[in-house]
Amino acid sequence: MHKRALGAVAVTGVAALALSACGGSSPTTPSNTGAAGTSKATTSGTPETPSGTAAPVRDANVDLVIWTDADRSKAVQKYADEFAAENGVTVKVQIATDTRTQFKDATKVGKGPDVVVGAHDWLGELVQNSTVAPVNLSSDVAGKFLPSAVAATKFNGQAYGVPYAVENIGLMYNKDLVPNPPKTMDELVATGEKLVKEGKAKQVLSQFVSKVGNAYFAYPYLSAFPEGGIFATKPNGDYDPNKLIVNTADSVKGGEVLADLGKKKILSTNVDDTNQDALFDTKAAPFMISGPWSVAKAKEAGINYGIAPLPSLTGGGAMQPFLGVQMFYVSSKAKNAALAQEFVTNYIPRKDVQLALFEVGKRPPALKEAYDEVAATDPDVKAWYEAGVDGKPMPNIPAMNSVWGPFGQATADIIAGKAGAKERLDAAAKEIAANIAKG
Amino acid sequence: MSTLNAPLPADPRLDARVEQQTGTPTPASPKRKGFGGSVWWRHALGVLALMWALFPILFIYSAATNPSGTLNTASLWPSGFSTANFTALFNDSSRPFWSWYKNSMIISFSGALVAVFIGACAAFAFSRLRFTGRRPGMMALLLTTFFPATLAIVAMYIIFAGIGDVLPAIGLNTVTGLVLAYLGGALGANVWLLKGYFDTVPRELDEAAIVDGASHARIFFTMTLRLVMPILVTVFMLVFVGLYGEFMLASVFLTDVESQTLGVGLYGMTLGNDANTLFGRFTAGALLGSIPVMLLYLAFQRQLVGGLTTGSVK
Amino acid sequence: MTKPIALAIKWVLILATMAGILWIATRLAQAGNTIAVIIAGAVGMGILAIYATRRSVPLKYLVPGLLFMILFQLWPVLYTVSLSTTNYGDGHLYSKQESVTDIVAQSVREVPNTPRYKMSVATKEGGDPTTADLVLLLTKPDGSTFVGDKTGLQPLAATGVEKTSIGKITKAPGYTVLTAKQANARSKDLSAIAVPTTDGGGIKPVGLSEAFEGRATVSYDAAADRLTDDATQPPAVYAPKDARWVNVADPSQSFPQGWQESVGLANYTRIFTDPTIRSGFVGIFIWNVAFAIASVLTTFLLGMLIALLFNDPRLRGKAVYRSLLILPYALPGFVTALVWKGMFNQDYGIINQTLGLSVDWLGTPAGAKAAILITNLWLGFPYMFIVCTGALQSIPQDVREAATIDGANAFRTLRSIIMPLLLVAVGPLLLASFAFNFNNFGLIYLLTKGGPFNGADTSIGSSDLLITYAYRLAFSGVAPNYGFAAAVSVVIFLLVALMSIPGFRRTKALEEVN
Repeated sequence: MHKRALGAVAVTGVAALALSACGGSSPTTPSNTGAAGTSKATTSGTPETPSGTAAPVRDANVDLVIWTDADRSKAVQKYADEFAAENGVTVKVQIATDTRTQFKDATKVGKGPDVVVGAHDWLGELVQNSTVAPVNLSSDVAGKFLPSAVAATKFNGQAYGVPYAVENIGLMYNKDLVPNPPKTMDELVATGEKLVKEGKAKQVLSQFVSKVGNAYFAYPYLSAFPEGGIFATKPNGDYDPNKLIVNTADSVKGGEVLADLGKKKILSTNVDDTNQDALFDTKAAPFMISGPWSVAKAKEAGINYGIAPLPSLTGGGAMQPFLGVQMFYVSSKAKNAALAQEFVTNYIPRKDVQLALFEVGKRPPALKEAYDEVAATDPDVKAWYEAGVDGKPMPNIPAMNSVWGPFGQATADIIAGKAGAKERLDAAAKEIAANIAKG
Repeated sequence: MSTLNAPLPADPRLDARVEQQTGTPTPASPKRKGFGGSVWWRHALGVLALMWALFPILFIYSAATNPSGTLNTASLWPSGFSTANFTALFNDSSRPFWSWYKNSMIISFSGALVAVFIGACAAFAFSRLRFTGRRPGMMALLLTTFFPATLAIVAMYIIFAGIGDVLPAIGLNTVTGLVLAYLGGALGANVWLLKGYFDTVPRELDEAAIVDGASHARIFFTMTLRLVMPILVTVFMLVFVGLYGEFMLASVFLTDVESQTLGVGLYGMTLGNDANTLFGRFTAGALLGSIPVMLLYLAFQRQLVGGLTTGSVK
Repeated sequence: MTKPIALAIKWVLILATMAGILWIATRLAQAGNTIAVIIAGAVGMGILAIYATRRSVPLKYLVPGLLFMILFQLWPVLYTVSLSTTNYGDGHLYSKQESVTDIVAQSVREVPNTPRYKMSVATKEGGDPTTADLVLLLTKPDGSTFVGDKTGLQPLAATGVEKTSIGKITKAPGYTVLTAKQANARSKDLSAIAVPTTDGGGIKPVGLSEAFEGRATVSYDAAADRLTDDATQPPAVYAPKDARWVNVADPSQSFPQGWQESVGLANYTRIFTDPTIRSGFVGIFIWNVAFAIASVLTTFLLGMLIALLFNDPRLRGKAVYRSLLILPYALPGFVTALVWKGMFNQDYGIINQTLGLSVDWLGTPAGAKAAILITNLWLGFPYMFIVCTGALQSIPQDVREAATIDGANAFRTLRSIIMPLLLVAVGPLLLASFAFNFNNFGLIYLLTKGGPFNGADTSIGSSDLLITYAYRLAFSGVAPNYGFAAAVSVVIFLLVALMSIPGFRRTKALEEVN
């Protein structure tokens, strides 16, 4: 016990793994990220079903247990109460701190919730571990959602939940310094460098790179070129783990852009999640590539910000971000499967529910009707949506676990000038393929 | 230091101890020469040590009192004072800060108390009693602490899930279960620390008591425990702080937000985009969280460093 | 305390413990766990034998701690060791049978061009809602009503049937519609229901008010031990291989759901044969040992010096100094490690800015190592400070004061008197601290994640410890391999234990010197 003392960090082994999350992809979908997706270390659980019968940890009087994060808990609670009253049952909403891990852990030992609120890129891992159950929406209900959001809830053609929000990164710019957002990266660089020269800014762009790299933020540079990206897709639209494209000629073009921006000090491995917002919010940088999670801070700091789609790259098209979709899952080991399915299929597709969830998260709603309503009044939401309109969902296949670390590091090395784009991406491809082959 | 068959008083310290125990006044130390007996250089070094210890904390303080609450990379000095982060911290019902605080206090306090007690019992046996397997036993205790704790947490989780099926009162999501789990590590290196101190209590005191007809239990509870108070307090502190900051096991154990500890709650604030948006509140919470440890240390200071003032056995 | 009272307390405690164990044993028996009952019984008998008789005095003092240690430290460790001989990890958590069930269940797809039904769950009138066979009362989009059970779909006469506005049946003659709560209690039965239809599918409930016609595309042939997926033409056949279902025609395709199985010593063999591990081992091992030793030495020396510094009775304000000095210890380590990481930032960090440097602390091998050691010194010295302050109390005042004499003399006293005495008390803690730092995963991950890397790949980081390195290997696959990580832990444990032997000898020697 004493040793826990020596720097509480200490104990953390596992936690740190999860922490590594912050260094990874989208801040909202931390799970996937981190070097080599090590958040997996937290994976615990049991192969055997626990001895005895029903798990008594749960309150026997509760008919439906929902796990969500702290921010969304109030909105979920409201409709859980309504559902409870309508059906004459009791519903409990619990707040999970590290939902992905806790959900997997608890489900494996038979102590999990019936419904969980999470991100779509957990899906492959959850299916792999037999943790989630299919959710069969009728086609007319599914048709009311954004097609990309519905697509993201599927794995191997099977749907596993109901989406409520989409999110992606875009370009945030300081309107006081830059009246109109740049359309191309060259324009962005020119505008920014001029501002720096005039002393109005200290640097051009704030983008999360970090020493270990960030695959989520680096991906759009590759996706700006037609054949660039991480995985190619199968005919049915699923990502194909056997078709790695991180070192195709087009991906290398994206890598060259990273190298060039690194050389010009537009991108720096010294910018990471701890300072990227601060740089924008203190007006040190007129541009920031980030997502909806950065808006609240910028507002607080009194920045007159605008949101625009990511710029396009010379020789390619517009940078396309990954889409993250947030959704309601039903546990495959749910003790109250019937109520869980009922709640998820009947409540989440409702407009008022989607609007309530929008209010607490400020992400564009996944239900078209709800999106249209908020987009009419909230320019931010519209801007975020448009920044991601052509983006592809973040891969939800388990193989992505083998990508985050090596690919992220490769982009950091390219930006830092430690290696050329071609050779480094080749090496990354080799490493990723070897990781995937490990199974 | 082991008094193992050593002729008393082989250890020079024992003389001093006996003197202290028996109330013989230790002669006041002669006033030192040199810098005129002044302690200014100690203050100078002390201030230096404080600077080393505190400058990162100053950083945390500025983040906590800065309403925009980012880890503003350039400012070490607080830019004004705002309680915005503290107010936000106290008024977030989905992150019940005071419940966390309370839970942490309960868990750390009870865990540390029991850990010290069972540690002291074991140390008494290792120091005062002779039995086969004594030394290997102590080695084994130390060895158990060598296993990478990271992985055992996973097994611990599985085990407690099973325990909870049979005994819900100590299963997952219970404070009692968590305290019990912590007690698994109560022996380990702490026993060595305790035993080292126990050894310095002269055996002749025990022997005198035995002659008077006292049982081993009586010696332990009424005499030894009082004589070793400084080390008990030290170990209590160490265990308390260890448990107070522990969040890894706690975060897999306590899933309900109302039953979580400060460490788990704060750690949750560093996950995902919360790291950025909640940074101000997070640092505010961390600062407030450090207060009990400081208070505890202040309160125990006398026992920790005051020497044996309570020891008179006769 | 008089003897009778003490005796009474003792017996009350013994009886209470016995009652507790009896109760636990009863619960265990109810759960049908015979082995655990026997163990609980044995423990109870043992406790009775130890405390109720005058034999074995040492055990009376050791048992409480030992019990906890065995239950909550040794057991988890042994459990981990046992997992190290399996492929336990993501995708390999359950049995093979469960993987089949899961794959088949997840392959259910809606049959194209079939209607969605509005559904109510019911039983035949008079049936017990908790046990009676369930029937589904169904309404097609055109309003026609049906009754479905395991025999098939029958039309339901419209007379007497009451429906909600969306068409869900609330009342039907001859049937009792279950409430949501009652129906939910039958979730298991509901998920098993599939009202057979003529085209080979089955009508299955979605929640409590809708049903669809679905069909599982995957089927399991137990005799041949094959899974067949007819969603594609020709049907794909999957056979078991390496604890997974692998497509026979195209081995690159497999189902993500595998199963747990014993792999013998394969995880250990892999540690000693994996070419990546072998290539990186020596360099990482050297840094790992150096890191652990340097961390222990620096924290101990600083902690001890500060403890001695404030060990002067004449010094005023010691309480304030000491309380402030333990602040680094009072703050959660993950908080301060994050702050330190920010301070080491090359462009924006306070360290470079204050010192006017441009050192890429976290981006160069030497810088990263220095940053790690400095951070760990800061995190760890208060612990040593507290320990040394405590241990100093066991050193008599006159010896301590001798050490406060200014000048060269003090150094000699320190080296030849104070340090040896202190080491006796804290030596074992230094060993434990060494072991702990040897595996200080959290620190490395928070600061550098093992990096910087060599610029070619992420296999070997220049600040990697064995444990961070091995974990990256274990968890970077498609399915993080917990069994392998467990094996690595065991090997590292043995390594640390081996390296601690000289330390053990030394503590023993020190002890005997006195």
